[in-house]
Amino acid sequence: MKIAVCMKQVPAESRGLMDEKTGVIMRAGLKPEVNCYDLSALEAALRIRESIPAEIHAFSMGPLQAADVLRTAFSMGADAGFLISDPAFSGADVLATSYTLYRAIETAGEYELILCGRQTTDGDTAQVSGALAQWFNIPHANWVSGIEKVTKMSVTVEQKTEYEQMRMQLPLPCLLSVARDEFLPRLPSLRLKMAAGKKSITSVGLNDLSDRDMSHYGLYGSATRVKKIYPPPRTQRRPLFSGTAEDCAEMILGAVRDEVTG
Amino acid sequence: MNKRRIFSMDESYAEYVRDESQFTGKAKSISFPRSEEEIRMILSELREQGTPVTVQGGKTGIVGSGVPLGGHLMNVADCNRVLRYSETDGNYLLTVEPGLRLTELKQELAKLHSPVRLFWPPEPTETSATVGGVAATAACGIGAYAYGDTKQYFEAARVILADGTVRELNRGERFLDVNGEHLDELDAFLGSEGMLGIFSALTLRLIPCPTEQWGIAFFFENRRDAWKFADELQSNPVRSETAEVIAAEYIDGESIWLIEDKKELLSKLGNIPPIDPVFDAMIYLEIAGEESGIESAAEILMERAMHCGSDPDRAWAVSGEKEIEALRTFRHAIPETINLVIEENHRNHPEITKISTDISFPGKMFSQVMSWYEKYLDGVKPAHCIFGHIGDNHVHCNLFVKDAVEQKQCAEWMSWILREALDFGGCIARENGIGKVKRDWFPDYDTAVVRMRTLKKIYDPKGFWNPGNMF
Repeated sequence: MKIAVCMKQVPAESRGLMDEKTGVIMRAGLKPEVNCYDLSALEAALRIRESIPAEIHAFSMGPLQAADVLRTAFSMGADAGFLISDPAFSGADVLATSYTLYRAIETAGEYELILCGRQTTDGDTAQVSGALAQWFNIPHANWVSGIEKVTKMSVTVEQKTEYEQMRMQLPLPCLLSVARDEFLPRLPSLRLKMAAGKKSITSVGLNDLSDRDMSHYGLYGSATRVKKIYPPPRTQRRPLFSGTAEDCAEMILGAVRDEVTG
Repeated sequence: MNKRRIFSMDESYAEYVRDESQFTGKAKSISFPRSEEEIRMILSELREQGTPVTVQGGKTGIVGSGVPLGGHLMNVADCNRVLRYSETDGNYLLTVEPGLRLTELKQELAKLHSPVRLFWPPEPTETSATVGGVAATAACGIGAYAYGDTKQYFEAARVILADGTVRELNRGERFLDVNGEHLDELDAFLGSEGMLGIFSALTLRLIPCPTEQWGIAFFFENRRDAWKFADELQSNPVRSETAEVIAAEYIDGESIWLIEDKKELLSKLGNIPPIDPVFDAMIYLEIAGEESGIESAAEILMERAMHCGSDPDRAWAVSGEKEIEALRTFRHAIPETINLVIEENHRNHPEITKISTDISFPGKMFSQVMSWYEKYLDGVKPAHCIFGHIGDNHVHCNLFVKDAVEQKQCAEWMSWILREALDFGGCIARENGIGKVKRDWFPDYDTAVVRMRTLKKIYDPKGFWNPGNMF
């Protein structure tokens, strides 16, 4: 089995600063670290490999220093690492990021399973995983709190929602975004950390992708611009909607419209 | 009584008459000065009344040094400003008030406009302790292995004596002959448990941060293998031109299981994975320097650990400030958890206080010292755990006393073992102090006690400061 794990480098602390013109989060001068949720995704992959033979490939999209993310992935047990880096990719929103990941993962072959962390600590959208699954046209489940069984054809998972816990079986290939607490990441092993510095990382730039149209990537490929970053008001009420995909999309659109128009 | 500065003691200040040892005292009044000027004004009034003063900072002490037995209690935690920073020819000095906590110090260092990143080597694991508390006990941190004694990282101090005089103590400026010992006057005050005067400012010597740092935790299924590994670290230190081991800590199985048992209460350990109960001991090391040198050192350590039965595939290895901080938090969780257990037991039995050794055995082999402890703990009823610094074999043995009878028995055991330790070449008051908790266990002939009696006659013959500490 081949498993792709998406891992991002994020600032160690958030100051909520953004470029007023482009809406891009300003990261210069901030210490970077691996997005903690993505460490859980890698942990999930490692646990799967403990039960069935699998190859784990880590993918990280970012500037050249994001290679550190892949070194961390190696020191935890990833078999290969891909650094998706190109000036054309910078400033990407969910749409452009997910599309870039899709095209980049494509260059490395086919994967039975793609794992993502629940969200990132900088963008916090928790939407890239779902968008990525859409590009691949594969089923996906978010907030996976347990992976019960993996076979050649399917994966059985647990998903915790607000009021209930669900058990689902998804056919492979599929994408899972995993919860953090249930997949507490292991600490890197000494032997693997020593070897990590010597492992090669595959670079993936715009010219390596099957679609080289720059307007599909980065700031130009983004459908959204960040207007403002601020902490959300605390609310106790967390309504849960259920329905068809079309019904849910209408409900979300309505909720966003209400929020914008007040 | 000046109501603005000196407050009558009442129930609302109950937390201040106790420290982490659970030793509880009493006081007639309390103050929270925010500057040297306020300290002096309060002291002037108390001197007129003939009221002795006990000084405390973060209340993180474990021997009752900052717990009053009457008189006035002065808490200097609000006296916490950074006063000045200077940089001359590679000497980086930061002058601070005594109430600055170590966590705050770290934040202040990050804000300095210095061409290099700086840190203060003592770095005791109790990060809520104050700089004044470190000065009062000469507490060392895990970096003492490479960076040496804490006292050398104090360059100067401003101290207020019992008669109100303010003295500037600068390293290398004035020396005393105390019972045949040639002492820098500054060093006479460091580690004096507040018995000679109160610090109103302390000048810290900072050094540049290493370029890179790794933290490595080796696990052993048999603690004797860990002892062997520690012996080799001592007899054959691992260092190169570009990197060296800067910290070496031993943690026995009982300490590991204690943390695992109480992990749910310690949210800051949320990122540390569970430790396999098969492990009987852990050795935590830090290596600092250039990346290539660190990797070479790690390679050597890995080989040695393998020869001592430790599986390198199960050893943890981290780099980066945040990740190392997580492992240091784990290390500090041991005394924290011990203190939680003692506090729990103390609630049911108020006679219970912390009982722990603070003994170093310079020049001995680690396994020798551990065998020595094994011999002297044979037949001791309460459970115990041992953890601490491999350098100078400075480990802490903590006894988990459950009732008044065990408290009494263990106090007797402590009196006995401290004498045995002196005979075995140990230094029996290394970094926690003696305070009120340990003073009855200490032999009169101990060097630290004898030295302090002489210094007390010189600087505070009337016993104004911290009465009840040490003797």
